[in-house]
Order: sequence, then structure tokens, then C-alpha cells
Amino acid sequence: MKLSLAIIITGFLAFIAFPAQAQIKAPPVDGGTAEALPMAVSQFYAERPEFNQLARDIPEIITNNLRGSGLFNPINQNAFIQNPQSLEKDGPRFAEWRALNAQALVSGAVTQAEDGRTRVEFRLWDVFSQQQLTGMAYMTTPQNWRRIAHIISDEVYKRITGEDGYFDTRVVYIAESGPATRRSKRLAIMDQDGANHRYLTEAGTLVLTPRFSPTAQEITYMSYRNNRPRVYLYNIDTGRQELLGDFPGMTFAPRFSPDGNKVVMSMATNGNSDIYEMDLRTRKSRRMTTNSAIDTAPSYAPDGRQVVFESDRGGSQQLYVMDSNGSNVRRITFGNGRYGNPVWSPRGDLIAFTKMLKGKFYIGVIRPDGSGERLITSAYHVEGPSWSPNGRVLTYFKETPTGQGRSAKLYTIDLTGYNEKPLRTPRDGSDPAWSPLNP
Amino acid sequence: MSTALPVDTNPMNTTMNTAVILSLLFHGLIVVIGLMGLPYVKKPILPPEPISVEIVEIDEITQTNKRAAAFKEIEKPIEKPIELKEDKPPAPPKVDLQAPPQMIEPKPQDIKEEVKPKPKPTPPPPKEAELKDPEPEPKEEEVVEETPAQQEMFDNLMKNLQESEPQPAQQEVSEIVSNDRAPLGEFISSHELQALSNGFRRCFKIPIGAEGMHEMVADIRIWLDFNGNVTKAEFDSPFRVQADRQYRTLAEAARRAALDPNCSPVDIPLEKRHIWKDQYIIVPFDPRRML
Repeated sequence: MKLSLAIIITGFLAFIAFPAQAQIKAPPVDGGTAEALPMAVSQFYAERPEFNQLARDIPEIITNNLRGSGLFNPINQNAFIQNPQSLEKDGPRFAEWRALNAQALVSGAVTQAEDGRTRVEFRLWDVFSQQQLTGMAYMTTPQNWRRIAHIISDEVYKRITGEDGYFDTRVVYIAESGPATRRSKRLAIMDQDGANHRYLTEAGTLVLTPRFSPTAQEITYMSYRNNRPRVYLYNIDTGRQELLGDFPGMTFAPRFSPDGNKVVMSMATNGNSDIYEMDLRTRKSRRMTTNSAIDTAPSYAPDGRQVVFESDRGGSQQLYVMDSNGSNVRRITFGNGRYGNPVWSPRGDLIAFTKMLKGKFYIGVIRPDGSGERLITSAYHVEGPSWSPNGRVLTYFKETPTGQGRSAKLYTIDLTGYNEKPLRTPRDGSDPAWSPLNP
Repeated sequence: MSTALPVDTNPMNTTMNTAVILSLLFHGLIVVIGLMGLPYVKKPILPPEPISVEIVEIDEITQTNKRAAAFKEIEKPIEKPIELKEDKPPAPPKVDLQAPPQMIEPKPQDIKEEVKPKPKPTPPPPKEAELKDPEPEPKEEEVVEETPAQQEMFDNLMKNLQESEPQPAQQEVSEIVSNDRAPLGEFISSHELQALSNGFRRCFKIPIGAEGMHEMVADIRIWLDFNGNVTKAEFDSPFRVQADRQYRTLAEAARRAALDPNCSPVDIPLEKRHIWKDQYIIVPFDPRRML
């Protein structure tokens, strides 16, 4: 009798705990939208009145950064119901944020650390799942507030997109000024949003094609100092410039290797230009191409094993890829028109280039195997693409004819080909180069 | 007349009083244990503490860069650093603004005649015939592997100014799916499930441009209430979400789509709720055809 009762009870419990279910699986959702993610960036809570300004300014920079990426659509703060103090003390009231159609929420606080420094913390929330996605606190001096805003922007970007951000970066470029017949070109550097602009070189010497070191505070560029076009190095911290090797011919189109230990460039001798590599530690150079055609504009793959460059060895200007020892050269572009200025993406999946076809210029991307060519922007003259450190955004310059000549401005565009927007500079600008994330 | 209270001398009453006191103590102990030990009915929000990071000036780091130090050691035997500030600026090179812009790097051949940013010798404007490649190379079309259907979906989300031949418009899957309901029975038809999936399309914000998205599918478990509203959505592969950052990006985008109030209630036959009311439905979010 007892045994029968036990069996009945056990069977009943099993029925309760594991009801018989046939799993239902729907077909794939194989479509979607490319819309930006609606999100809310709240003002930060200020522990003291003297932090009120920071509590407003930091979220404003974050909002601008995220909106500028084209991937996020920050909601107007005037629509917010919950105030920063309540957010900090009680946590988000998710129903209110959901009513605003905010799918993510950034909250934060500015307080004073025990050692007297400023402490800025933020939290990123998933509104629908009601979970904190990430939270960080930064301690620094108040003067670093812009950088903190960029770093927080990068953290938000990284947590939601799964890729590193690019907001805590700088752009070096050629600042142009003066009349068309006597154009001054100087090296200039600024934050990626145009703030903290400063000139690195004096006017009077033509400089071109600056490129950031991926590992150090250095820039390599070409200068026509003493009317001899040569490749130089510039240390951003010290301001010191030095000639990169004393080559017999003209050196130009420099670019750092991914580890920052080498510079690859073109050298012209006896009317022919080939690609050379210089080791910055030993200062020994090595020739990478030996061809009677013009080989130039080399750019390393992020793993350092291959180099893409432009050459007219096939009769027209096209892109080629070779192994870093100079072997296994193969052509990757076969379309009409001429291709130049190739730049390998830091992600390694794409190569950006400039294309000229039927009198018009294009910026495009192509896979390293030559497939998937896409032209993402065009104009009377667009040129000089440079990748953001996460390989997601390109910066380049665009020239437009004016009454007295041309006006050159910097632009950025997402690799999808959307969200093209100007990069503000005090004057005209060309040849932009994106820095890696600040150390 | 005596007013003294009667003294209870019944031993049964004394035992009962003791039992009541013990019972009260015991129940009080139960309540205290319950309050202290049992979980809260509603947990207060206790988010993890933010991770503290110290920020210093960039040059404080870069000045101690090891590579820079090594670099400094080898600077001296090579040559002295050149201070450009003391130099007289050379005459700026002439720039021919009337010439069409060149997109190639500076070349030595033109330096003496005219210094341009990109003074590579430029061939005369190519005629149409010259645009053809002199070498018998494979055509671009042979390299591209995408099928026309894939290419069209790709074009939808990735801009391409390249001229392409018009492709026949692909019929929307939602149009193919019949609206016919399956007869009331013990199963949900594939058409009905297809309608459910199609309903999430407008809420699924695909992480376009993100690396690896073209080779991932994220399965989400959804639970529905009586009216077909999504009440809960969870990852079907939570361990992969923890381990794979790119997959997490897709899975979280899929979960947001599933929980988006704009896509609830889902399109599912309510008369068959006896089939789906006590279990979850797995919805795969597949961006591969769009990227």
C-alpha cells in the first residue's frame, strides 16, 4: 500500500515538474532594419554644486559621439521623466524609459574621491531586459573631462556593438591656408571630434601624407624641406622631428608597420620608384619590389604578413597585394578606372582605396582577395582614406571647386557607406590619418 | 467579603500556558528566520559596483614607452635630430590649381617642373578603349561569389555607388507566406510560425558592419502571455553569449527585438494558445542574408 502511494506521489511530482512539451521552433527572422538604436543618455548626478557643469558636459559629449557614429539615436533629454538623482539613488525606473522607446540607458555620477580627485562613474542599462550591461568609474583631474567622456563613449560603443570604439582618438592632417597660388600646408592634430586642435609644424614647408604610429606617439610624413622630398618622423610628445634615413632618392608615401617597428615607403631613383621597408631599431632598409613600373602607396595588413600597394605595372594604375618579403605579388582590382591610395583595415577584412573613373573620384572598399568591391562615396575630388582604429569608419578629404580655386574639407563615413559627415577643422584640411586609441 | 482573585491550581492550565509561550517563541523564531534568511520577494536593485580606472595624461605613458626608449638609443649614431623651426622656409612649390586633381602619390619625375601633392606623371585622359586592362585578367564578376539574391540583400544595407544591372526584385518572404490558418488542431503550422518570425523583422536592428555578423544566427527563447505579448526573452545559448563578444552583440540585438513592445503581441493564433501557453518558442534571428 505504501509503495503504491509512493509511486503515485512520485509520478504526480514528475508530472508537475516536467510537463510534456513539444519544442516549438519558429523559422528564422531573416530580415531587419539598419536603424540606429534609440537610447537615452541622462545627465549625470552631481554630488556637489561645483560638479554641475561636468555632470552636464560629459553626457553631452557622449551623446554627440554616439549620435555621430550613426549607430545610436540618442533621445532628447527634455523627454526624460526620471531625474539624475533618482537614477543614481534608486536605479532606473525601466517602465518610464521603455515608454520613451529607449532601448539602452546611460546614467552616471560625478563625485569627489577620497584623495580629492574627481570621480566619474557611469552605468549602461539594457532597458528591455532591465539589466546593467556595464559600469565603470574613472578618477582623474577635472581637466581631463573631455577624455573621460570619450572613454565612456568607447565603453558604451564596445558593449553594444561588440567592437572597440574610436572616440578616444585623434586625427592628424594637413592644415591648408593661404591663397591658391601660395598654399601653406602644415601638420595639425586634433581630437576625432575636432576639439583640442593644434599645429605641429610651422607654415612655409610643404608637408604631405602624415601617418600615425600604431604603438607610439609618433607620426611619419613627407616634407619638402629644402626642396628635397623626404620622409620624416615627428614625436608628438617632444615635438622633435628627424629625417628617416638619408636615401639617395626621393622618399615618400610612408606608413608604419602594425607593430610600429618599421616604416614602409616608396623611394624614387633614376626615374623609377619602388617600395622599401626601414627597420626603426636598426635603421636598415630593405627593398620589397623590383619592377620598372611605379610602385607606391604601400600599406601593411594588420598581421604584418602582406602589403597592399598601387602599381601601373599592368598598364594602368591598379592595386596589388604581396607577401611582406616581396614575393607572391597578385593583382586584386580589375574594374575600369584607376585605383590608388590603398589602406588595409585594422580589422583586416577590407582594403579602402581611391578610384578615378570617367573624371570622377570615389572612395571604395574591397576585400583583400579582390572580391566585394563597393564604392561608398564620390565627388569632384575625394582622396586619402584612413581607417578608424576599429576598422569601422573612414576619414578622407573632399575638394570642391570655389571661385578662387578649391576648398578641401575632411569627412568621415561608415564603412557601410552611410552616415557621411564633415569633420570640423579651423581651416581647410587634407590627408587625414586616424590615430590608434589613446594609451 | 474577600475580593482576592481565584488561584488557578489546575495543573492542566499551567501546562497549557507553558505550551502557549513555547509556541509563541517558536513561531517568533520562525518569523525571524524567515525575515533574515529567506530571499526577498522583490529584490532591490543592487547593480555591480563600477570598475575603477585611473586616467593620466598621455605623455606620462608614452614618454616611458619601451619602444621609444630603444628608439632613442639608436638615434645618436645615425644622425642628429633635425630642428625644423630654425630653418628658413623654402619657396613653396607651385600648385597648378587648374589641372585636374591627381590621386596618386608624389613621384620624382615631376618635381623639377612642378611640385604637386601627387606629381606622378599622368597619362592623357584615357579613352574608353584604354580603360580596358591590357592583360587577360579574370573579370571582377568572376571573382565575386555572391548569388544575385545575396547581392541584392547586401545592397539593401550596404551602400554601393557601383553601377549594376537591375536585378529582379526578390519577393518578400512575408508575401510568400500564406495567411491561411491551419485547422484548429494540436500543432502550429509552419505558415503561422513564419508569420510570427516576420513580425520581428521591423524590430530587429541588425548590427550591420560589425565583424562576423554574416556567419551567425542567434536563437532566442520567448514566452508569451494570454494575448500573445512577449513576457520574457532569453538567450538559447547563454554560455556562448558569455564567451563570444560578437555573438553577444547579435544575441542582444535579437533579444531587444523580441522584447520590443512595438512587436508585441506577436502574430500567433490565440485559439491555439493551449499549445504554446506553457512553453517557450525558439526564434532564430539570422542576419546572414542581409549582410
